[in-house]
Amino acid sequence: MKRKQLGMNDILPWELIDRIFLRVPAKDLFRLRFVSKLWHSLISDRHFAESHYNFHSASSRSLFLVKDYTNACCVPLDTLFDVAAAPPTFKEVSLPSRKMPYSLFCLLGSCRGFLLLEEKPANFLVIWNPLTGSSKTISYSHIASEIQPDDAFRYGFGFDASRDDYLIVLYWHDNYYNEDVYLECFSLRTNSWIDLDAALPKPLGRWKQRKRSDLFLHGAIHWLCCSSEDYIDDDILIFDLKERSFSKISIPKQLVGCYPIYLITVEGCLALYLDDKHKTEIWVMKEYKVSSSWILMYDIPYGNNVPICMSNGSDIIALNYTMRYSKLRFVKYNVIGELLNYSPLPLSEYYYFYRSSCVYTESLLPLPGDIKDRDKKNKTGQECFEQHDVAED
Amino acid sequence: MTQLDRLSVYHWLNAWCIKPVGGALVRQEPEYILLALMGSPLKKIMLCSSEKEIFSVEEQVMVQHSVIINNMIEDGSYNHEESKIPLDCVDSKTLKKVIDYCTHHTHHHNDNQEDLEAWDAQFLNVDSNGLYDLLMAANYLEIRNLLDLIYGTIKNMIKGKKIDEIRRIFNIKDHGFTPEEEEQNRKEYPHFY
Repeated sequence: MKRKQLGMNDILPWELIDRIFLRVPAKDLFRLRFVSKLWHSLISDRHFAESHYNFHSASSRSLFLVKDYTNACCVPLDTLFDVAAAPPTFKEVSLPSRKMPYSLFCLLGSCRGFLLLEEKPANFLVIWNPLTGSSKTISYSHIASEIQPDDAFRYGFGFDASRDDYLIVLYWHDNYYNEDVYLECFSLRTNSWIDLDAALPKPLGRWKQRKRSDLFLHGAIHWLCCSSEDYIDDDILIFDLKERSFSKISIPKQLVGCYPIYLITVEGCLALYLDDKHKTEIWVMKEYKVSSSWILMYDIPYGNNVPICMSNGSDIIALNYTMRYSKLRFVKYNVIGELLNYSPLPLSEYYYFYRSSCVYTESLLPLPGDIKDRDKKNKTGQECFEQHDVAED
Repeated sequence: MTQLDRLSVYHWLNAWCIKPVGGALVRQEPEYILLALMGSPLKKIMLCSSEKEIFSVEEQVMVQHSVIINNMIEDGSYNHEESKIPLDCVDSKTLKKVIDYCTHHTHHHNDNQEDLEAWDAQFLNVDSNGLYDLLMAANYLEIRNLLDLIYGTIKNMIKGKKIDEIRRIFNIKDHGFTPEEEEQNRKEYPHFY
C-alpha cells in the first residue's frame, strides 16, 4: 500500500494516539468512540478514562446547574469572564427520567464526573454521569418511610480508591428535638448498605444550617457539624473512605457561632465561607488538617454569594443571587473584595437556588461493574445521552 | 579550556538562560553552564538519518531540546571527533525539519510569544503524514515542546468535528466496525456523523 493511502491509525502507534486523546476534551471523546474500532477500544479502556480524568480534573471543570424539573445546563469555568469577552458557553443537558411524575431533582454533589441527585419526594438517589448517560438509582425508602421534614437528611458522596468504589453516606436525625443522629452508607460496588455503627463517634454531631454542605476531598467526606449543647457549628467531621473511620478538625475561632457557614474547596484546599447576606468571608485551610493554617483569604462586602473557583491566581468567581430581583449571575471579586465583573445567567426561572449547582469535571469513567454490563443493556437514545437504569436497591 | 572572549561568554549565557521556549520551560543545571563555558560554543554534532544522510548541527541546540541526545552527550558515549548519532527511526526529510525547529527555538527564544507561535504554525503547515512523522520523531528524541505543540495541533484538528469529517481528515479508510454495527451507531447517534 502506498504511503499516501495510509491513515493515522496505520502510521501512528496506539501509544501516541492515546496521548493525543488524553488532551482531547471528554465530550469530544464520547463521540469519537465511533470513528473506528481502534479508537473505540482506546477510549473505552478503563485505565485511559482514569488517566484522562486525572489530566483534566484540575483544569477542565464546569459548573452544573439544575434549571427546572427536566433540564439542566453546564458551563465550563474557563469560559466565564473570558479574556476576549466572549459570553460563557452554556450546554443544555436533559436530566435523567424520573421515577415519579412531578418529583424534582436536587443536586447533592459530584465526584469524578458523576453527579449525585436526589429525587424528591420519591426518596431516590441517582448517581449519574451526564456525559456518558450511565446512571444508577438507589432507593432509601427503608430509612425515609419513618420521616420527615424536607431537609432532614445530609449526604456525602465520595470515591474510595483502595476499593474502586463509590460511597454514598446518609446522615439524619429522627426529629428535630431528638438527640439521636443516624448514619448509613451505601456502597455502589457491592450494591448494599454498610453498617458503620462501630466507627461512629458518639455523640455524632448535629447541624443547624439548611443548605447541604458536604465535601469530598483527599479521599474523605467532610461535613460541618456541631457537637455542643447550644447547636453552634464548630467542627468539621471527616469520614475517611478507605479507613472507614471518623475524625474531626476545628473551624477557625472567628467563625464559631457564625451562621451560616458552608464547606467548599478553593484551589484544592479545604475552605469555609460565611455568607450572611451582607458580606462573604472565605477562610482557607492552607495545610490539610492543620488547624493553625486557617487564613481569611477573602473578605467581600457583598452577600448572597456561592464561591465557585479561583481565577487568575487571585480572583474569586462566585454565583450571586440577588433575592430582590430573583436574578442569578456570575460575579468576580479580587483579593481585596472589589467587584471586578459580572455576567448574567440566561435563566428565566430558577428554583431552590441553594441545592442546584455544583462544580464538576466531565469524565468517561464508568460505574463499578458497568463495563461488563455495557454491551448487554438495551440503549434508548435520548438526544446525546444514552441512559440505562440499573436495578435499584 | 578554550579561550573565552566576551562575545563567547555572552553567546553562552544567552543560549543557556532560563526562558520559555515554545511553551515549555527549559531549565539548565549549573553544571551545564559550567560545561558550556568550558567548551566551544559552536561545537557541532553529527546526526545520521535512516537514509544514512548526515546532518551537522550545533551541539547546544540539540542538547537543549532533545532529552535523548542530551543523555547521550552527558554520559560520554558520544565522541565528538568520530561519532555520529544514528537515528534509524527518523528519515532525512523529518530530521531536517526537527533540526530546523530546535535551531529556530534556540536562536529565537527571546522573541515575543506571538512571533514564535506564528513561526510554529507555519512550521506545522505540512500534510497529515508529515505531521505523524514529526510526532514520532519528537517522541523518539523526547523533544517536549515540539511534542506538546503537535499534540495540541492534532487535538485542535479533532475537536468539534463530526465522525465522517474526522475519518476524512485522518484518512481512516477502514473503521473496523461491521456493517451492522456501523448502521446501528448511525441510527442511534445521527448527529455525531
